Amino acid sequence: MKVCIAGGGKVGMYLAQSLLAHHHEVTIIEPVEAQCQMLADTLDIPVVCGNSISYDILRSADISSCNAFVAVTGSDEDNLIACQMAKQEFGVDRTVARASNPNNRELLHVLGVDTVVCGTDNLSHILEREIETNTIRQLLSLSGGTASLNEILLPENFKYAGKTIMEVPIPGDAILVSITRDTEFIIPHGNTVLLPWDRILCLTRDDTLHLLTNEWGLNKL
Amino acid sequence: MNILVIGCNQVGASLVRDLERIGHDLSLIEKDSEQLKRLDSFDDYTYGGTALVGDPTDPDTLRRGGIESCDAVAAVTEDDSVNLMASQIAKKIFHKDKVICRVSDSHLQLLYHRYYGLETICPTILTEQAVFRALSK
Repeated sequence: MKVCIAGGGKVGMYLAQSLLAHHHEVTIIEPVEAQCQMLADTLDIPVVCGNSISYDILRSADISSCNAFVAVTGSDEDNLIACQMAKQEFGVDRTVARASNPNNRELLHVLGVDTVVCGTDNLSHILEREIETNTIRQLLSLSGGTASLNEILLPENFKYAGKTIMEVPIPGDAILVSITRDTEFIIPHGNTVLLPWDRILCLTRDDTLHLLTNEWGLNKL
Repeated sequence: MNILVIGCNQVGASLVRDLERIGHDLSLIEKDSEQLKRLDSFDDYTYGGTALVGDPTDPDTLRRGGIESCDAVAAVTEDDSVNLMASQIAKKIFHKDKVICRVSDSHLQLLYHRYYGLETICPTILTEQAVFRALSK
């Protein structure tokens, strides 16, 4: 696949490295000349020096031949405009933008960017969870960081120990996927009993997880 | 008319002054509080509208700046991307009919006028035309 990355800072560079490792063809657009030099030397790929919201620069990067355009500069506004140009003017199928401001994740998508990734948001969710409790571990972030698959370790003094799932309140939007009890693997049903030290795989929306943490008393350790 | 102006640079400050002088009600959003000092720099005019310091591409800021009750929006900061994004939010999210957007890059100006229906003003083209006319007299 041919991918063009707008913004050759840390995010752009690591993304390029990982795409190259998966045998994709990568071009980078970066405005700072010294950074361009460094990228070209380190990665051995075409680097176009210039502003990614300029028509001429996008054309010299030949983005109309790209399957995907990824805008990861530090400016959310620039990322939006670059993606809109890539789509409207150059007919790129798939556009991805980085949003630094979590409020912009939804907004950029409404304004026409196919996928919006918000690193700040994902990171703060993970940190928040780590601070809130050490009994929940995020295994997989889903849907751009709005939902996740988590492992919950029920504590020794779990307040609903011995109750069936039917009797245990599950606030918000969550599904218990599986339970690992020592070496036993259980697909849970309404009449499955929860016990201390159970490891529960739980699929939740992100706003649900702390409701669950509070309701199950997982933060009072 | 109630008019919301985004950006209090030289263009924005003069625009606000001229519009208020002919009887419009103005509100202003500007990212940098330092820039608002321009409003005090006119000899024969004091700004009578509201001014908000905040990010003009944030819908909440626009809402607090009074976008919902305004009749027209003018995005005239010096950053093309900020103007284009703020204008699209005004049109798409707040359904404003009259949105004027300053875009210095002539190609961007054309694109956003054509595909996104924005009313764009391009200082680059206006300057070029003025100089051209002055020289070809």
